This record gives sequence, C-alpha cells and structure tokens, in this order.
Amino acid sequence: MISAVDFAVFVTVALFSAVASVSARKTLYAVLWQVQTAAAVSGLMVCLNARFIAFALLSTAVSVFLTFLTFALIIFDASKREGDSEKGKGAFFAAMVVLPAAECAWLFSRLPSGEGALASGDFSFAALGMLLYSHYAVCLIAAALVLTGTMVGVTTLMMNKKDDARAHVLSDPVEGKTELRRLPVERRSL
Amino acid sequence: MTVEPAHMMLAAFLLASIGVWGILCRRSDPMRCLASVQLIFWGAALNFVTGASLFGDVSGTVFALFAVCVTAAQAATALTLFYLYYKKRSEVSRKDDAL
Repeated sequence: MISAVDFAVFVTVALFSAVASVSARKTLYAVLWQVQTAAAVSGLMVCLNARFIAFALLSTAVSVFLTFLTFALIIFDASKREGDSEKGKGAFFAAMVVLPAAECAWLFSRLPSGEGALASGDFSFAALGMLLYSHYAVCLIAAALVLTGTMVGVTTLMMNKKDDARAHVLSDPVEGKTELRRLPVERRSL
Repeated sequence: MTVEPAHMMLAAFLLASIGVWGILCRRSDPMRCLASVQLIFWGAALNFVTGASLFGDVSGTVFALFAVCVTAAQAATALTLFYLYYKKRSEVSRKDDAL
C-alpha cells in the first residue's frame, strides 16, 4: 500500500475538491473543482500502481468537463452573471493551475525514490491486455457495445434534420410576422 | 506508518457519499447532478483499484476501466440531452418572439 503522506495529500485534496465542486455557487468554479478532484483521485490510483486507469480517468474527466463547461457557459450565459472581482478570479485560476502542478511534482518526486512511498512492482499493460481479451472478453464486448450504442444514439439525436427544418419553418419570426401582415389583405380581397 | 486498505476504502466511501449528498442537495441543477454521479463512479473505481492492489489481481483494474467507460458514455448522453434542451428552449423563445 501507499505511504501515509501520499494518502493524506491526495485524499485531502480529493475530498475538499469534491465538497467544493458540489457546494460551489458558480458552474465554472464547480467544474474546475471537479477536474481537481479527478486529478487527486488519479494521483491516488498512480500511488496504487494503476497508472493506466489513472490516465484514462483523468483524460475522460478533463475532456468531459471541459466540453460541459463550454456548453454550460453557452446555455446559462455565464458572462451576464459575473460578480467576482478580477483579483479573486485571478487567485482562483492560479490555484487551479498551481494545485495540479504541485500534485504532479509531488508524484514525480516520490516515484523515483519509492522507499515505502509507492507500492512495489510496476503495473503491467501486457497483463491487463491479456486479461481483457481472455477472461473479460464478454465484458469488453458489452462495454464496447454500450459505448457504440451511445455514440450512435448521440449522433442520431444530433443529426435529426427533419425536426430542425420543421422547427425553422414554424418558428421563424420573420416568416411569422409576414404571415400576420398578409392575412388581413387576403381577407379583404376575398 | 503505512496506509491500510480500510483507509483507502473509507476515502472511496466518503467520495461516494459526497456524490450522493450532491445529488440529493442539488437536484435542480443538472450539471451538479452529473458531477455528483461522476464522484460516485470515481469512488467505485477507487475501491476496485484498492481491491486489485490488495489482492494482487488485475481484475479490479479491469472493472475500474469499465466504470470509467460507463462514465464517459453517461457524460456523452447527458451532453446530448443538454444540447436538445438548449435547442428546444431557443425554439420556444423564437416562437414567443414571433407571436
């Protein structure tokens, strides 16, 4: 198992960031705290020698949350809700850069020495691959089907052009106003 | 002093509990709900990895990998629902403007 110092550092950061991400008032801050939580959990996994899982978790979390952040900012129009001072914002973003950098530096400083800090024995990608394609082949296929189904569903929902075209015709404000203007004229001529 | 597996499992439990608390407290905010569900998944993945490290078996890591995959799929679906909601909302506001 890992040493108490590594555990204390990463668990403290992970739990504090998780609480902050749930309780933060602004979506932007919540998302950044969530990414911070992902980094800390990945650090714990690296300490447990599950480096591949740590990389997968961090990459998916960061990509998902940055995409969501962009979309949430578009939907909820965050620029109109700004209330923080420039100094406060700068300090927060600096902390969001410094904290993961400090975690990475901590891991790098601990990894080469390894005296009781990290679990012994390297994680084997070959063993993971063999296990995935032998014992857990059915699970792997199920997971692949779930992911493929999700992608197909997402693409189908996004590419629904028929509904798009109908909505455009029904809801075009210029068209609607033109129709309202034309209507009395047509009635008079009849 | 070394860390026992129980400590790691307690940390995973706390992470999942924070996720449950987030879902219960922030039900009206879909973004926070998604973040809370992710916290629960990460707690589960951490538990799997701890088990794999404890028993020296890679199977726990495999299941953690599946948990990460399911999280990614769930996030993609949620993103689509967000997009459809956004499209529907802008459609309704355009109809209101037209009327």
